[in-house]
Amino acid sequence: MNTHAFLQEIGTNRLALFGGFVGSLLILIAVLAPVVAPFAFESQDLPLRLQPPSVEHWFGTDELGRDMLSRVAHGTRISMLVGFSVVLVSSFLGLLAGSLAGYYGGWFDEVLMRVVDVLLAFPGILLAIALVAFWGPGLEKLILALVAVGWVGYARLVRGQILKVRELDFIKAARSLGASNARIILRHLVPNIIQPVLVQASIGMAGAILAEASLSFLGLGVPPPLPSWGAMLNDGRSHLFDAPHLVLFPGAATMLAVLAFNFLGDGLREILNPRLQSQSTLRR
Amino acid sequence: MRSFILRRLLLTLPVLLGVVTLVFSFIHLVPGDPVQIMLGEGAQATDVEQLRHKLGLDQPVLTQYGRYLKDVSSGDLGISFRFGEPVTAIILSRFPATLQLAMLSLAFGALLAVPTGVLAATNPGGWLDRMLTSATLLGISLPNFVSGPIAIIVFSIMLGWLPVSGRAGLAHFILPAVTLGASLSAILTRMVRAGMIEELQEEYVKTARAKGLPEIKVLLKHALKNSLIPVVTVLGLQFGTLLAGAIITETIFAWPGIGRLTVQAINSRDYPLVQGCLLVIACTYVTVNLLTDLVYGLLDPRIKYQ
Repeated sequence: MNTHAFLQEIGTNRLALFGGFVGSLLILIAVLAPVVAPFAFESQDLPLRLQPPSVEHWFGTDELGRDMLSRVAHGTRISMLVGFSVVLVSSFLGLLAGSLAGYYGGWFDEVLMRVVDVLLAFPGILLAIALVAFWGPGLEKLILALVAVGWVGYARLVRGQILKVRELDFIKAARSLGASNARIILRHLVPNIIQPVLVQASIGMAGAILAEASLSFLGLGVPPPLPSWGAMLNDGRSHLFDAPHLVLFPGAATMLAVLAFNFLGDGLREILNPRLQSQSTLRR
Repeated sequence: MRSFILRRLLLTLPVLLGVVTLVFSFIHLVPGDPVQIMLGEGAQATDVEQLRHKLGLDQPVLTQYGRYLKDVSSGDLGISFRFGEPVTAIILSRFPATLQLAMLSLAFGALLAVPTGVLAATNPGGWLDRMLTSATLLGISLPNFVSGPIAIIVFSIMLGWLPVSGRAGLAHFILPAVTLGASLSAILTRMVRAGMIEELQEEYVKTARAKGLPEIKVLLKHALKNSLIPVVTVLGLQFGTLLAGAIITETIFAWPGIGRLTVQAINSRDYPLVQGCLLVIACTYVTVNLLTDLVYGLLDPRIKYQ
């Protein structure tokens, strides 16, 4: 599917449109967080602690009197930063390892597949929890742990796709015309397998946002006072009775972000795999 | 069939060895001295050396690895630094609570998903289908650390129907099991729906209808039976996700299982206990995946010849 047709399809796919719109909005909020947030996210006002939503504090205040709207807006930054970093690095590593293994085969493929088998023997989030537990908390370590877990899925997907495409006639033709291996991989194979990787990346973005929030919820993610939706949810748990807004707003933000990128991924999958369109219910 | 089982068992052994190796290597990922971190900054040098010796960390890495493999194969996962008891015994005392919770979540997920998926598939594209499919997307995107506290606010605080935490009776199981099983249920509903839509287009369904069988029989006795085969695989694979999800659910509901134990062990830097918990969860995951593969092979005879 060419780019023009692809963009046209996105315009008619409700899932992709909704996901793309909300996702873009979240990215915008992340970029403009200091402008959007009415207060500094770390600014405390103890006499105003645990205030319910009001005209001055739309999302209320937390137990240190910090404005929840400002913290949720800045939390978007952390989520998007982690999401994009993890998806970009994981997909790059997965593309590299998967292409080489799928194209060349041999011992590299064997070793890679065994490593993939072992890493997949752990539920993804558990491995990330394990790595952060031993490495210690911190934004960079969190991203590194999620990349260590995330690249595996891309590598397996890319390898499988390369195995299918490398046997097609146009690859044989390129080889017989004397194209180098690097040229075949970069100019012929990768462009032909990139679409499912895009779908995986969108769903992976939702997964990374969820994983960051989960780890921060367990106290293994972003260290305070940096605002993370997961950490805010964890802090809010002790005030479920007297200040449920502490859980509701970061909870809604997490859900919306995960929903948006899952929708985008589902929409892209439908567009790129027309057989699924007949089964879809939400498309139009 | 026997060669299929043997082959799957043989394929699982290197994975298990890889899992044990990875879990062993975790303690060497700790930046700095793991023993010093466990004991804290103010610890006496003699205490540090004593614990280092006790954990075997003063030995060469290969010797440590050999000893770890030997101990693990005999069920010895070391001594917990925090509890001063064997890790195996602590995990064994907590594991049943997690298994109970996971099984109940699985049952809840499957019991809700099958009728919902069938209902959605009876009229694809209709209002009910749209509503149910939207609900499943919502269910998949709703993390348990969001749905758990919201469930507590609604059902425990506002309505006062269910207890917030603990494990004293059946009522205590409801909120954690539903929270843990909600996204599984959503995934299964989508699978049952997709499978049913596919099966309902098959020739044998048309034949059954042409014979004048009541629609309910066509749906439940013919189409559903065949569409459930891939669901079994997903159930097995999702069991591991449930075990990982239990870490968060058990933390929210103060559930005395292995998930909460893992978090407690991480927070108290009890590395032998963290390693033990990770190893047990990963091995359970691998075993359940193996069993799923075998059951799938039994249900669909085409699989074992591949």
